[in-house]
Amino acid sequence: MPVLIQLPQVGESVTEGVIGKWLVEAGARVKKYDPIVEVTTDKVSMEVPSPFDGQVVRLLVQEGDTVPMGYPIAEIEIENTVAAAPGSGEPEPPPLDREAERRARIGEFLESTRSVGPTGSGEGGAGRPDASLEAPAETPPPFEAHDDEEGAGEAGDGVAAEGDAPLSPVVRRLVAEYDLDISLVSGTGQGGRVTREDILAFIEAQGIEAAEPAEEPEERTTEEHESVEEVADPLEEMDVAVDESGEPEDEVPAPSGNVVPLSPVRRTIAHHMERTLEIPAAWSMVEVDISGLVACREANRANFEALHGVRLTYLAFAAHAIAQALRDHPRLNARWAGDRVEEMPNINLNIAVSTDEGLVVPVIRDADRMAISELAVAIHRLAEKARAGALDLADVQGGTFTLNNTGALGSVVSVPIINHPQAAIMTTEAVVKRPVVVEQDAIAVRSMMNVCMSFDHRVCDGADAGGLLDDVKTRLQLITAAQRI
Amino acid sequence: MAVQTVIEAVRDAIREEMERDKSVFILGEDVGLRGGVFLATQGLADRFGDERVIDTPLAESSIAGVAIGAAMAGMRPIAEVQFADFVWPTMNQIVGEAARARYGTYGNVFVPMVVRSPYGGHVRGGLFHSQSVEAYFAHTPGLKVAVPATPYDAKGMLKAAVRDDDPVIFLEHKRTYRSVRGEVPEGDYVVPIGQADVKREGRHATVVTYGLTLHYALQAAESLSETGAEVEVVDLRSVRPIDADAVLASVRKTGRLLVLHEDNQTGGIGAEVSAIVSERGFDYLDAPIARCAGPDVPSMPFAPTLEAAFMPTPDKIAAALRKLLNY
Repeated sequence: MPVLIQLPQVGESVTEGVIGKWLVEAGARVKKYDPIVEVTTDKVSMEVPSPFDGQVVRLLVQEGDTVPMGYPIAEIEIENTVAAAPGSGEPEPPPLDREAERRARIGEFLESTRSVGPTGSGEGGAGRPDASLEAPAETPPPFEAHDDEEGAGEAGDGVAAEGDAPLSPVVRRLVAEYDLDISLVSGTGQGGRVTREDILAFIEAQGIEAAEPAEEPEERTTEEHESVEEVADPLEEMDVAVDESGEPEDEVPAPSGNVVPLSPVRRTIAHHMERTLEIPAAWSMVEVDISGLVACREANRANFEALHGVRLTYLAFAAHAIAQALRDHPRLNARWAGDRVEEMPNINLNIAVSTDEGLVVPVIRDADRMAISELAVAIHRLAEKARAGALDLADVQGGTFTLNNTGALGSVVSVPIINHPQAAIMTTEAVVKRPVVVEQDAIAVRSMMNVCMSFDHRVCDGADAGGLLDDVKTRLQLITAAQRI
Repeated sequence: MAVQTVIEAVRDAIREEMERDKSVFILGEDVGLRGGVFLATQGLADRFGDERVIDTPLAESSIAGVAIGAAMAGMRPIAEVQFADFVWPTMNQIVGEAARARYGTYGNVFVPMVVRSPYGGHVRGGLFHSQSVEAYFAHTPGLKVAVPATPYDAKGMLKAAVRDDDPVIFLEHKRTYRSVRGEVPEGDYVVPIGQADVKREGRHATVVTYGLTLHYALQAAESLSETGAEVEVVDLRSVRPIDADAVLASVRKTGRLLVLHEDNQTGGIGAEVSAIVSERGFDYLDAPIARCAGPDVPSMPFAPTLEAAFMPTPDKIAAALRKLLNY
């Protein structure tokens, strides 16, 4: 009885594959699980295993052909079956119907093949005869259905009938993570369905270790979930980039002091600093009277901290003023690109964060669209993430302007180094009370803060930079205790 | 700690906020002389005078409009809409103006206003005094929507709402007013809006709910515990924003989710919770997400038998949970 072997589904978003090398030819005998053909998709290369013991009747596609998932690729005569009907002419490639696709994704007939794709969703798809084809007589139902007094009665709304129990998402994930043979697990759920508890009990009874130990499903915390499939470690990524351009160290005499090997962060910082040497930087500073801002922070502080659980920092006010001001000074929200200046469409503010590993500059995207309160929360969250070493690539890419709160270290003047390839970097310095001359030549004690900026003189001139600084200063000085944050 | 009812906790929260901040005032129908139909504002007119406790005409649109204008001018009004069923005339003001002011003025104009309203049924309120309205407001960006179910949460969240710089719709289930008692700390505290709370821990299934049905869910979980099932009950407390992380953390633990509310099923909060879990917690689900909600009929019926048929009662919730646990 010849059956058609179809190109198995190997991932949710993969729709077609390129036939590589055929590993068998017509007439060859194959055993179940023997690889029969190499297939390349845009996600993965794989060998398609034979789902049956049998003899290859003929190959239906050529090497190099691109065919959709589910398309018949070979015809196999199954062993130990009676060839009842003679092969009456050409077997027609069956039309792919939606139901077949759906069933393929659900993953029945798991016992017939091993996992073949990165998501494991190909399980059961390989070689599963379509409903329109003759099913091999000996194919058993995937699960032993348990006696379940409720099973039949409740099977109505979407619950599979006996022998057709679908695997729930969590069961599928656990099967993939622990590389399990699902047919060995007896189900106690409705209609004999294998439940999560069944799998976990099986894993515990068998003492199975996760195939990927890093993914402890039950331990995963909320914070981690979104980055699980992302690039794990942005710093690692940076490290690679540095290694490509870095030059091997020459031999140096044995040092007499403490030798500190470079961490990826340190190496990245060093690399960035070297690149800034090419920038003809200029520097400027303004003094800002932030007495009103100090009053505003005091007025809002207790309430804000009770509501949001984070500190209301001066940095948030400064970030807000800078982001707003940058909207009117696009030339400072720009980068040098060799033969042109590129003014950036969004205002993405890098905020310098000091960590045990060194300085990192995570990004707050579209900072100009955020209120002071939102910025305070966002900065806090990013800083926490940075200190926990949990930043992912998206957190550190795409910045257009950098802000460094050097005042936190007690500094009153800084000459910051530009964060290549950005046009400028600004610092906010320590808030100090100083006697200043105010209206009518009176002298008053005011809370003063210096704001410093280094800028790339190729990108803009002192007038542009001074305009931005003056704008930031004005915005900060206009804040009063009544300001809503 | 004092044991209080929800209505007492609400009243204390208002009084303490008015004492703390002179910009806080209340306005609404019968809030002054009568002290509110549920007595949420009883005694406040005597305490604070009729400039800060304002009886308004029967015109909800103007209650909301006055509150919005006052909030834009720097006050912190607490407007009362006597029953949530009467909130519709305020929709234009709240959705069209309050929710958009901060966004539309580029962060220059804030509307720090609270609209309190008793909602919900199972009190023989009939067609015009029983409605759940949270989904209408939860759909609107720019608003926050709080739905506390206990005295502790009601007081702490109302204080948070008053201090919030954005408009907060504060919905109090009228059946909880006097039927739910609980300990309330002495002194000032706030419960942040947007944080859910696990009201009962369990590992076999999660119920996500809020409002009156929280208490029904706790009863159902208790009755099922006799069979060995450990049901976790998550109280959303706010339906905008929804605390997705808390919901997902629970579903990751249990693998089974029942979303529960008294409001009509279609387009309800449960649908949103279900979507969040499908998007972000799919790989942890061991059963289809189940919903238990008020049926899609136009209003809460008056006849006691029909009202009981409408409500998600502890028995119905337990039945839904049994089906979920047996899947």
